[in-house]
Amino acid sequence: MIRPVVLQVTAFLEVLPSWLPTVAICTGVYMMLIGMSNHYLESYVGHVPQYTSILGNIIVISLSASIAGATYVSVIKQEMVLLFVFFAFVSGRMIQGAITARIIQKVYAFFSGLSGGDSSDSLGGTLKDSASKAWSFVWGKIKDRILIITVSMIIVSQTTLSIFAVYAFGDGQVIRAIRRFWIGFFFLTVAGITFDFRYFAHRISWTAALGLVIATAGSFLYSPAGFSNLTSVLGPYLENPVPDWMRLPLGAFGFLAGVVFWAIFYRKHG
Amino acid sequence: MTPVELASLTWPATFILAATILFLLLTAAADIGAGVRHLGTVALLVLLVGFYTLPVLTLPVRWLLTLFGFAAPVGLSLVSIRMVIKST
Repeated sequence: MIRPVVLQVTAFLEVLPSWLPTVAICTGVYMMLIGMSNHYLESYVGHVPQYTSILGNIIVISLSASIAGATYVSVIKQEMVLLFVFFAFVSGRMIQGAITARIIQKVYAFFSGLSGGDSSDSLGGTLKDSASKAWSFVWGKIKDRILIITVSMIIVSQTTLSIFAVYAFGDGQVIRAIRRFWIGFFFLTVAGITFDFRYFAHRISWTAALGLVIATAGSFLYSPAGFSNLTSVLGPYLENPVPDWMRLPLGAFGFLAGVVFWAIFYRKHG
Repeated sequence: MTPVELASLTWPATFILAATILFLLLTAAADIGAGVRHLGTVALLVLLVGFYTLPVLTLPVRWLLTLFGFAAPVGLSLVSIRMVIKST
């Protein structure tokens, strides 16, 4: 039997090593640590004539390296690997929750903007006038985001086909469909953040912005459908592996905390 | 040499390197006299020698840095959430 290609396309993510999300989050976090401390350092001592950007880089990189090294030594010596992994897991879930809420809010804003565009000031003009106004509004929005809309449409249709394939040609397990949906969401997030990269990369630093993209990608690699990946890989290193039931409440807590922080910052900054 | 041995060998050196440059920059910014700057630099170098000769000295510093290491993922994810909402 020839297995359908669409089923295979997203299947490669299922064979990702399970340490990858944690390592990706830690890499992203340390890149952000380097980038943001550099930013703060420059604003603090940037006016000193002895300060150069190379000197700043040396300070920040060696300080981050000492933090990473000391944490690594403590984690290994005191057998806190699992604790650290859970810290990274919860912080990843927080990013995931906040960004999911952000995407839903942006999709809502996009569609309410579309429907609000033709009724906003149609009182004074004719019907044709307001229709052309609405069209130029929609076209302006599309033209500005043509790249991300194309990419999103490709991802969405691929995910839809892949989910459809689970039921049409595959074994029809719901868990497979959920996993494929989540993988599609992962690609959408990475595409969206990479697209928005140009807006915030110059404002903070490139290192920090890239670290944010890597950390977010890592956090979205935690599939909600594969609960046992994380603890099983740590099995050989632990004397008493933590049971799986702990991960679900921890993940839910992190996700909810992320949504709450999104709400707090959204009310503050919009 | 295992990764743990390598890490425990390198982190005090990188820490003192960062601390020394930062100390010199901060004292230069605050316009503090040369005597204090020399004294501080020598003290940091003595501390570096102490780290390698008396390993017990590294314990408090290591735990302080570990605290930062554990706080970094959660703290920076908060910072990044704020960043994403402010700028995208």
